[in-house]
Amino acid sequence: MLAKRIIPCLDVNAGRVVKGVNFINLTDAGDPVESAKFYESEGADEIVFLDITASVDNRTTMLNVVRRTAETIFLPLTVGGGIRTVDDIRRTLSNGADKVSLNTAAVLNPELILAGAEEFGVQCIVVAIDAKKIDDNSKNNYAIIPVELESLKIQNVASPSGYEVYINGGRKPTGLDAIEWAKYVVAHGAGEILLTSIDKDGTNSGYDIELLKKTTKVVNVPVIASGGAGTLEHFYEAIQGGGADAVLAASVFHFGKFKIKQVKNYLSEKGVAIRL
Amino acid sequence: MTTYKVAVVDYRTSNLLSIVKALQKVGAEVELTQSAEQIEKADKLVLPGVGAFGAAMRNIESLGIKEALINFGRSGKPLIGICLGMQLLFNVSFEQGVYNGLALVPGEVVAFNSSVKVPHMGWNQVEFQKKSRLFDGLQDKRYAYFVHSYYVRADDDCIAGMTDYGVKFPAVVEQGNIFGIQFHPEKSQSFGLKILENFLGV
Repeated sequence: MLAKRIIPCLDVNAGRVVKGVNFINLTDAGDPVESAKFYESEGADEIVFLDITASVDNRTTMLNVVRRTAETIFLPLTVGGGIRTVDDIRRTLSNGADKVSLNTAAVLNPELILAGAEEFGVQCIVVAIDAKKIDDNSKNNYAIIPVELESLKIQNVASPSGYEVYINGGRKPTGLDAIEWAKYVVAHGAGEILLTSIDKDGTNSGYDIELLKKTTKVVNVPVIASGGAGTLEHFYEAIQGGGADAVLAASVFHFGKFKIKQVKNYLSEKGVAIRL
Repeated sequence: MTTYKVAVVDYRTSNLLSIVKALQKVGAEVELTQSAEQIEKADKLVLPGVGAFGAAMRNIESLGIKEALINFGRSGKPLIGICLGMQLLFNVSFEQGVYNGLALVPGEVVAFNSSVKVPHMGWNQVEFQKKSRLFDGLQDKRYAYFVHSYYVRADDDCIAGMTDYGVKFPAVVEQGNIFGIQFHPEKSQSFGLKILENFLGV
């Protein structure tokens, strides 16, 4: 049976891990390669690097990190952040990433999804969706959305999901319905969805189960739950209640609240298919 | 550690970094090869691959290495196809059309049906069906990392390991010294590395 995956995510800025892995046995907690190696030994099923480097000049630094990691660990590696063109995708993959994660660029330039899928296969195109429950606050800083996505705007959707897509690291609203956007990206070549709840991210109060349910019900590709892990039960809820195929977490692993093994043992005892 | 020489076929479809590193990790001296001459001279051959079946066969034909690959397979020297490389060993694929493969092992490549999420992506168990040299020192039902949308239908007698994803499909095939593995050993941690090490020892 296909196992549910446990995925630690590392934010990387200019080649260094932000919120570094908090373990004394690492010689250099700021080194993404060391951190990835540590997580591999802990039983991670996959590693995600999110490049949060602001400057374009540092792209080559990230590619070096990707290459050194791919040379060191024998696990799937997904890389996101700042990937805007087919050439960016090619460079990232050719340096050893197995998948790239597209977020802002997918919204601003939806053709990129299909172009990437046609060139490299759907299996390496992950679309990351940052979704937020719609609140009453009126917003005036909407992103300018390509005309082909007009029909996915919340006011144009027959039955809105109640969730909106944000871009630019969760800062800019798009007016797009999150579930309609999820369906769109899958129809246009996304092989996987990395679904982050902006409301839950950083709260340790549990994944957004409603958002997960709504998404996993309508797409036929794997969905990675992200944002909110704080207890062992949260992982179980995302999988069992939310239908997630994989669960991603950052801080609970980095700060040593849980070991990956611990999460896996817990889920396995609960009857979830897990690679132990 | 003994050093084994192995040639990896580079037919421009896939990133070879990870597979080369994995082979080196288990003691291989790796040579990348793109020519019929190099393939014929190799002692052991790895045929990797990701992407579409049709495009892969086109690249193989345009590099002029199709005959060399078939001859190598028939020579009795050890050959292993990985992921798409495994699928290429069979007669025919129905991936977005109908394409002939290398026909070294009888069987066909078909799509998963729509009751499961496609691609089949992630860790799944390999259930041993028979003794295989690739399984030396490994336990039954260990997890390997898969990424694929099509699978092989083959005769029982060449199937060494099966995996269940809605349908049971061959994860490992072995016919003489021709091997195929559907999962990615270079992404399957210690299980995958051991499989590669076992191949080097064939």
